[in-house]
Amino acid sequence: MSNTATIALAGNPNSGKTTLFNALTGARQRVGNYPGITVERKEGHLNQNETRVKVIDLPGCYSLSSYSQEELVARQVVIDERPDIVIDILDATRLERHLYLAVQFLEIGIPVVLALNMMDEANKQGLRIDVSKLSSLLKCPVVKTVARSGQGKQAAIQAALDHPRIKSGGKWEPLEISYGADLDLALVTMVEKIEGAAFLTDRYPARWIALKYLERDEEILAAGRKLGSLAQELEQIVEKTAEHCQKTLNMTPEGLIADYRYGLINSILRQDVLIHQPSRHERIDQSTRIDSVLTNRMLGPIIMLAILYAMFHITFTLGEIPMGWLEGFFGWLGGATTAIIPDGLLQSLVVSGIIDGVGGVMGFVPLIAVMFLLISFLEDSGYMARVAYMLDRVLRIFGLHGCSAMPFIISGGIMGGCAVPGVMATRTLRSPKEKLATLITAPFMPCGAKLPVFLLLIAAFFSENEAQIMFLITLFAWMMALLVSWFLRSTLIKGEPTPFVMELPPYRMPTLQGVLIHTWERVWQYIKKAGTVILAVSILLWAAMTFPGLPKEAADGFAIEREAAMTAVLNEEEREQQMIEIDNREAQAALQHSLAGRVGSFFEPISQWAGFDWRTNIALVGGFAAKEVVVSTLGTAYSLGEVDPEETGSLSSQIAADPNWSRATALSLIVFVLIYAPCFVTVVAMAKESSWRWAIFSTIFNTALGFALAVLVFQLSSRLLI
Amino acid sequence: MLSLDALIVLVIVVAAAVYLYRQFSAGKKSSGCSCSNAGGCCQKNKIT
Repeated sequence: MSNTATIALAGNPNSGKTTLFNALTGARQRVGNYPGITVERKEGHLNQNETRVKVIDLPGCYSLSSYSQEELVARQVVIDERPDIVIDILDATRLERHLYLAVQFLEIGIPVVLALNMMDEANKQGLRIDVSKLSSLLKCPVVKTVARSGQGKQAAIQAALDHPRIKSGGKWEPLEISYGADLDLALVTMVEKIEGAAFLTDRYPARWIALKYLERDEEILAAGRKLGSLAQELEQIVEKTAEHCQKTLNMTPEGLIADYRYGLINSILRQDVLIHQPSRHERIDQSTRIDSVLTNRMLGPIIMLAILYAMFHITFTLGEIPMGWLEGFFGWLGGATTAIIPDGLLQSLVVSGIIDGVGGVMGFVPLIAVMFLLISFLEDSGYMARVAYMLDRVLRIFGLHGCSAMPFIISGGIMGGCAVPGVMATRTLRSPKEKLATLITAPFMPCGAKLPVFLLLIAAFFSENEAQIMFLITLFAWMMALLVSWFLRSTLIKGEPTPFVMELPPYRMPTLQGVLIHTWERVWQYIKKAGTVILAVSILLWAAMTFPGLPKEAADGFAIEREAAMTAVLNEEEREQQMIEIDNREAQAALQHSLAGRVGSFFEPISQWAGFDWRTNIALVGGFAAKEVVVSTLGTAYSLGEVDPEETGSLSSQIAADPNWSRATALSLIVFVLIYAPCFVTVVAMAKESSWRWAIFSTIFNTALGFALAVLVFQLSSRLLI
Repeated sequence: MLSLDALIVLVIVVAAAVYLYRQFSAGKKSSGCSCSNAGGCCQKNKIT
């Protein structure tokens, strides 16, 4: 190696890998305590003696199969970029489990240095690790580190740069493990065939490819199928071996491979490599003691609900104050702008399109900030992993994963969340299929933006049962999310459920700096993405609801009416009332004549099945930008001009008195608003988390489902309800 | 003939439309998935 070197940092989630990466490179990066949080690759640089070292932070993963995104990415970086060496960071307090990944790196053959991290905690727990023995048994350098204090970081880098195999040209030397007579025989046959066809041998060791075949690794299987006959032969061997293992040992080859790897690890640790000497004061692990209460079968769920309820209560109580300031500020800004810009198109665009659009988004920032502050605290403390663990049993029935719980809750599972961060939270899911099912159904939750719509309709038609209806809406949202997930996982996104192998990290006291950085990163992402997109959509919607404007004859008609009102014998109050009435009728006529109005009228023949007239249709189209727009658009459409979504009293009485509206229409609209296409910002977030294809699918599927349910509810309830 | 007011409005509306279009095409390009489900290729394209 000349004066440069590339080192990849690998390790299980929560091994302190990211902390060590930060300590080494000084780069600020997300430091989480929630398994699976590092999804993207990060890079940094450092200088060690005279060597310029590039450090790649690989995603945290438990193995090198293509079982999850993280595992696949870690593997691809190692294979495609061929770093000079991998430093595998292991949690010294969980040595056995963390060595599983290390063994797989050794099996690939890349030079490896093991960094036994959290040695301080291991010492506290009375664990004594014989580093030199472990090093000689695994034939790789082993160093002790405490990433949080930076202890041992230089030693780890130096051990990597001094690795004997690096000095001799960085040759890869795969470790060969015996997997028992049955598998070893199959492996030998497969290796011969793989080497004969030179199948991927420029990338992986032949034995490793054979192992991946036995583990039914999707990526390797797909690559093999391109070769035709070789793949058939290999798959036949795998089939036969699997059948044999099933008959003789009642196990799959994959299970056997894992058993043998753990067998190797155990045999190493038993050779006095790991000795447990419980300290006088720390005989019982603190985390285990806390877990006995927090994840208790009876108490656990109750505590969880209390914590989640408290989280939302605090969010709204604390968030309301700055939210009021922001609303006040945007109100003032709107007023000031109206005073500065003369009446006309530009004023309307700036006030109704730009200020209202940005204000609508910014208004939610305080709520988002407080909520993320609390979520970051729970994540960093290690509690979120326990929530996922407890909900896993229920969610599994519907083809989801324990980690799906948080996206649901953040999206409004306990009323008032937001689907944008909810969809982003799906990145903690390891299985892409479970992630997809979660991100398609998370927007069903009653987010904060849908609340004004529900409040409006409940106030108009169900004022005597407000709380019950709100509770039923939440219940219905959860029921739909679970049922639709189950449907998708049984049809379009079929696949085996991912086992809940996520480890429960030990409880830690989060640092204030860490929590604040995580919160800021998330809030900034929200402001940046939601702010820009929603601003553009608001402008376009404003244009759609403004143009082409009333034809000259119609506008002249209203002008004549105004003149007549001015000259009529009326008192000041009556005249003002009449002028407002003319203004409102003109606004309604202009809206109906606008592009959005024409769209609304176009869909009316169909939407009437669900009880929606053209005005409701425009409001629902507007709701695609942000759900609060439904209320303000209904206000305009009902000739009330601007309606504040927070103060819907006048609009609700107008709607209640309208002969076109009934309880059946209200119920139908509630169902539709709950289920139909997520707002545009959520759709963009969905596209970022999966693909545009799935984001568009979700928009169409959710709208079709929402409409079908709305028709059903309207038709049934209009017959049953008075 | 467009008034200055209308011209500014036109520019802003067109800019918003262009911005959204670019966002949409950038999102499409970055995902680049052609598989029928969010399997390996989507993940690979998204992450790498």
